[in-house]
Amino acid sequence: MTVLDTPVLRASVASDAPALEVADVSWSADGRLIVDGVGLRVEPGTMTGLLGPNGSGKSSLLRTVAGTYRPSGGRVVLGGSDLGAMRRRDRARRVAVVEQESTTDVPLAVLDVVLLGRTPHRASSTDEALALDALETVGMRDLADRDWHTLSGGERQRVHLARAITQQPELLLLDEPTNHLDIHYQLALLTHVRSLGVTTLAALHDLNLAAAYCDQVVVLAGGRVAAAGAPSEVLVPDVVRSVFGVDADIHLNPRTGRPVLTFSPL
Amino acid sequence: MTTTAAPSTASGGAPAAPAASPSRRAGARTTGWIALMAAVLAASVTLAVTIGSADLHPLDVWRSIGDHLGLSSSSLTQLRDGIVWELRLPRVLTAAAVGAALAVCGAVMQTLTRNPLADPYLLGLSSGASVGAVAVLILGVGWLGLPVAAFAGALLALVVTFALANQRGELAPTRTVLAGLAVSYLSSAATSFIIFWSATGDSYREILSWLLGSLGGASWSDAGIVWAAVVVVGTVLVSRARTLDAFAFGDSTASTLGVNVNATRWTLLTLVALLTGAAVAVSGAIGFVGLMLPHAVRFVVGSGHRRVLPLSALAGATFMIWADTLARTLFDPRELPVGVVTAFLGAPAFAVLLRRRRVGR
Repeated sequence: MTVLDTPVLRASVASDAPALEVADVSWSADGRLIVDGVGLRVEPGTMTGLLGPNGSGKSSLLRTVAGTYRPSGGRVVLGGSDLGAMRRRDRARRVAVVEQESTTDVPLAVLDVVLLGRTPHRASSTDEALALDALETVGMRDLADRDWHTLSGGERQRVHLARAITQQPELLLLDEPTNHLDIHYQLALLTHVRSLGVTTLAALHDLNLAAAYCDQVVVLAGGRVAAAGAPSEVLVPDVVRSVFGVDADIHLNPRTGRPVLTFSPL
Repeated sequence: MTTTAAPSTASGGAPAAPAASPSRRAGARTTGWIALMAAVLAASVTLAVTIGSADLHPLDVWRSIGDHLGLSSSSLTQLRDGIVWELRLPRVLTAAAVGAALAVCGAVMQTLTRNPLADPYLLGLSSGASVGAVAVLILGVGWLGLPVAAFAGALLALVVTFALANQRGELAPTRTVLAGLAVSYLSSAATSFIIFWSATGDSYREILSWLLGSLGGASWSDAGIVWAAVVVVGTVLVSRARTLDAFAFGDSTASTLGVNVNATRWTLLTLVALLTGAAVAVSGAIGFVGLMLPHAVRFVVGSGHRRVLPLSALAGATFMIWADTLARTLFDPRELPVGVVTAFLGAPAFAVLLRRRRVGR
């Protein structure tokens, strides 16, 4: 698995960032195997995209890695320690999750939402500074006092990312974080994620976004790994055809040198 | 993992200014609100005791309290002292405790079920507590039997509601309300059946007025039971404020923030059932307090439970004192069940809430 010489803006990788190892992980619901013996490795400080058609098990795998679902088999290891054997709160100090379109009914200020990231940690007087820094990182420092409900979809996802940053995780899990965002926010969100230098596993719908931002992509089909490797190796017509059932042509982005896919009508 | 929060470009340029930070301001504002509401509550207790026949002065109230606590010996007549100490003060303090209990219960239930329409009444807890209480009233067990039976009834209703609403470990808001309604109706039917089967004449009227919610017979021991429940359960709930906050974005987000969602929900809701049981045992089923007050409080101070829980308790206590004062004075000498008053005030507020939600989507 080669890491592409990426032109994407990137902060220096935190030297102590751990690797994520998912070994033979399975999860089933109502007797049906949804995640079927998945193995993958995310190198320290890099971003891996989890791709696959609807129902291929991307979200379930993420939730199993996050510990929300208890795996029926296999191990999830972060920097040498078994996440599954950890207490929930200890795990939450190391792993942060941004889900798609997570919202609330209660009136909350943006800063309150970001401060939720400190929940697994001991309360401290520096919490607020951390939260404001995280808002600064995602470019929303000015909106700290705003009511959550007045934000746009893209702003909400950035607040969730700021919340995850405030959690100070070693591993960031993103479940289709760019859903329903306009193109500017899609690019902005993933650029922010890349700039963190945190080991990241992200389920993505958009193959081109994955190609543009990920060091590695893992393609799931029917709960199993269908292909894995650098975007330029994995996102080839054969794989796209067999997994998604569409014909694709691969080009190179003239500015970044990364693969761009165009799809032919069915 | 060290400092991912600040990327290299921003680390020098943007220090967080703590002096005027938003939550620091919110903190000061919260303290102010709590002090204000506590003062309003104290004034309400004093005033409410003076209202009614016998033309009492607010100072008489404090003289009587001082006398009984052995802090003073005033020349208050025995009659006036009796009206304050034996008649009105226990009732007003019970009303305050019941209001505080119901408002806190409502706030916690709304959070844990992620449902703005949740309150002990709507989810069947009050009705369940009523079944237990009425059964005991008719069988005639001593004063301790009543709260215990009410708690058992509330807990049973809670278990049945969540068993019906539970879908793969998640509680969907709509299912929860529907399940609560079913349990509520079933409990009401059970209560009616018990009354039909065994109550006659006087006990029938007594139970009916109690079912509609009444603080008429409140005694010092009633006030003691509910205040003890409010203080103990309230302290535990406030100590779990951050955990409650983490439920804002749903079960799975709470879980990824390190909260053991199921264990927390059951522990805290059992405490809520305990508190509801205590309130229902002394006052009957009083609706809408648990629904409205937490919303009113959140509207003013936001959703942090460190703020919402104490302020809901204070606001609920004050509200209930005045609702009960209206209930006993409006058609003097006849007494309106206080549940009727809270429903008259609460139903329109409920309607407003529903409308706002629809407009908000």
